[in-house]
Amino acid sequence: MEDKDDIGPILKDLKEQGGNAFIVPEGYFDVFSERLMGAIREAGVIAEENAAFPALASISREMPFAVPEYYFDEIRDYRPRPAAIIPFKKGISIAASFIIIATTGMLLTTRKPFRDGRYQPSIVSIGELTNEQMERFVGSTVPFEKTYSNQPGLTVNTATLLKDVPSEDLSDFLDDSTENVEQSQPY
Amino acid sequence: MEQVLNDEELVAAFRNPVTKESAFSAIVKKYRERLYWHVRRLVVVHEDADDVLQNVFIKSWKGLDNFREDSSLYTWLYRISTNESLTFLQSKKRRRAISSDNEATELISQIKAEPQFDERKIEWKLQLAIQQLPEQQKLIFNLRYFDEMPYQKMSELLGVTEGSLKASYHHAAKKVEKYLLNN
Repeated sequence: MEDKDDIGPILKDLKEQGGNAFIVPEGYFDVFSERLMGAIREAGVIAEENAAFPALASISREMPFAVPEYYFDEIRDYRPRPAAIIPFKKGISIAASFIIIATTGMLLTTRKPFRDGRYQPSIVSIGELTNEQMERFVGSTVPFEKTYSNQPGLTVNTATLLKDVPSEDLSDFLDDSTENVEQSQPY
Repeated sequence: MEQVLNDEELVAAFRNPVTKESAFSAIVKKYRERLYWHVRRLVVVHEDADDVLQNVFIKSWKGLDNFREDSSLYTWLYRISTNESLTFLQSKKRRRAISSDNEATELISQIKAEPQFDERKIEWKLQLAIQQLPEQQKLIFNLRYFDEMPYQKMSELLGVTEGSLKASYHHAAKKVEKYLLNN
């Protein structure tokens, strides 16, 4: 019959070295009895309290409140995030760029007001207007179709029609029509 | 396999710059659920509990280097959570200009607004009963009843003698029982 202590050289060496790979926290056995007695005493107090308040003792300690799914898995790291730091030189150049863009934008889009508060229209002479622009202006001020559309063969020279129209009115119209065209342009 | 460290080891690992972040993640993982419920029982609404819990962990990250280990990490974190929850409730009360009496009414209406609320269920009745308690009794009741925290730990946490804590818990439990039997 084989000797039951014949466990082979590796196991024999391990056994001689203690053979235990597990680690116990330092001081674990020193405080074990104290902790155990504390737990026993605590269980006794809880039992007394449960006996004193039977309705409370019968209720589940589970909280009835709902928590979003995976909420606890998502709580991983609540460390404060450092604020994004922009190097001084880069910060200055970003600020300067903003100022330049803002100033240019204001200069391009703002019209100077007159002393009485009205805005100064752009000065345009009739000669600079295209026929189409003139026709649109006339269409919006003179009931053109009503007057001439029922007379076939009659052609109208728009320059003649506009000769008595002040330049200011024409410029206002051009400004308005340009704005309308810009607004209707797709981006 | 993930190594499970006890609180002392976690604090020591946190103080080592190399293992600081992983130690903190382990602390968050270990305590997130317990602290969440402690906060939620006090502030009631999930979103508020989430905000408070976030502040708790941010403060822990900032303060853990100076943690003197006079108390356990567990007690220290509970203390931060309690303070943060009470501060939150105070500031909410100030913001919305509500009195202490109306605060209970407000929390009760928030409980009733919970999607799963069912007034016939005893667990919900218990939550409503707890809101009738004064702030300190509510806190002591929650710690004892739900977390089953020993009086000695509660004493460390709240700075109140064990005798007073026992008396407070008995008063609170009596009121809650009365509410449950009459409603």
